[in-house]
Amino acid sequence: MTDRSTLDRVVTDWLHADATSAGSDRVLAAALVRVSSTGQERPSRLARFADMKSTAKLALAAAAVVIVAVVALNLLPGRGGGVGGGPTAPPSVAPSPTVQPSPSPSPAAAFPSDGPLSIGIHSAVLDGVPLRFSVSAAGWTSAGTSLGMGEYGQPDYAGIDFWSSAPDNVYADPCAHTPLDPPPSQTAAGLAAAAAAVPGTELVSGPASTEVGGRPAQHIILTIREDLGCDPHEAYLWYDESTGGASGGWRWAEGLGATYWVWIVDVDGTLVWINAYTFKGAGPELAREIMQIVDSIEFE
Amino acid sequence: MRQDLVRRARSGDREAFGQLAAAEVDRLLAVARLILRDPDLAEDAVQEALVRCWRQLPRLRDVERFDGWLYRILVNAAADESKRRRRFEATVHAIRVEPATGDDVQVIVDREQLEQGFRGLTIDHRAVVVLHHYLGLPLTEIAVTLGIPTGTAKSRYHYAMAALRAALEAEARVAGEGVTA
Repeated sequence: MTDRSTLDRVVTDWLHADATSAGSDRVLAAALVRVSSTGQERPSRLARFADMKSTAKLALAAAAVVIVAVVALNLLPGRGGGVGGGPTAPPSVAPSPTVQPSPSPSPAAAFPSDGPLSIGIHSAVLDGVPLRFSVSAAGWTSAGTSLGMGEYGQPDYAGIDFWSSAPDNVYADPCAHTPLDPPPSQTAAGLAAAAAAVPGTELVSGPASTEVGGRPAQHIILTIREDLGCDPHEAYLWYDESTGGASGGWRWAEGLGATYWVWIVDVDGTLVWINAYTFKGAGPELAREIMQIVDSIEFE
Repeated sequence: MRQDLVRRARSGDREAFGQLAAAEVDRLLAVARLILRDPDLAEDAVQEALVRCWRQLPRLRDVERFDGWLYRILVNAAADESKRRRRFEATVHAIRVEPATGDDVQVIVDREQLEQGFRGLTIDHRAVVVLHHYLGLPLTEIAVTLGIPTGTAKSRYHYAMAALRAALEAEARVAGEGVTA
């Protein structure tokens, strides 16, 4: 019988005897050649928008309004679906807190291409976990690793964020962006309990044990309180350190009175985080749309 | 000094990144080889990890967590390489040619059994063993590094060590039977 300390010593000795870094110069040179022609992934444009001062946001928003107005004026003579008539533009998808899928040939995260989603089954990879989900209604659009339906910011909008790497902490003070210290245990239950207690939110239900795709999960529903105390887009709820933490991998509150559905699924030890949301005044049909997609998830 | 390099690299300074990478590459390569047990895959994994590191550095908020963050990238890159290029392994294992008698024979036998047992583990399990026994990281830190629950890190570790123990004891049983037969 090999006792524990003997086994520890044998394994440690074996690994140290086997370790070699021969050829590292070649690897380094090859990597630096690639780096010389590779850009860096700056925190997403939308995340940076959230980080701007309100005055800068207003200026940018004003500029955007002017651009939209000019484009709309140019489109009016063509009667192509302008304001007040004809088919509306494809629904936009809300800002996503997650990192865009990498163009690497074997990404840890992949998602349907940006644009309208066809009805049917779609595949994705989140934090290395492959999954499928089905879309049974027209109108969903994919962007990054998020889905959206309806007009963003309006009661007819529903969003679902599939995190490419699960958040690992929540904010103890969403408006001051102060992380919870110490962070919660890195389990579905620990994270759900922490998310359920984020100040500025009101817990509607949970944390409750459930299943997603046949895997154990924790589920909570919460709303953003009207007395949040700051601009909702300045209020951060939870974040993922590996995708940037406070530099980009966070989820902000979408709006006062918005409702969040959170599922934290344990897939063989990897936590998959899905949060969906609707805005104040959303009808029950949007919750059904969200549930249809979440209920259809299958892990491969 | 090192944190300064990380900060400069994070802000896009390729020269700083080059110095940082040069300081890390030996250890990265050793860890990748130990996990993957394949020198070619290990070199590809380290190269990919360094490129990912450069690309994702602006997203690293806390420069003091650079080491753990980098090893997470490395382990992910190793897993990706292993999946992408899974192939028939020509298990040509370099057995040390050296005079071996007495205890030395047992050491070589142990190594071969460990090698076999280790190759039977998944990359996830191997990574926990290497980070713990080679880098000396405690399991709680490994959990943070790999972004997995502490319980998962512990269960992976205990599973892996049980498999290695079984591999060693299987050889001991065979040897014992050989003596009594």
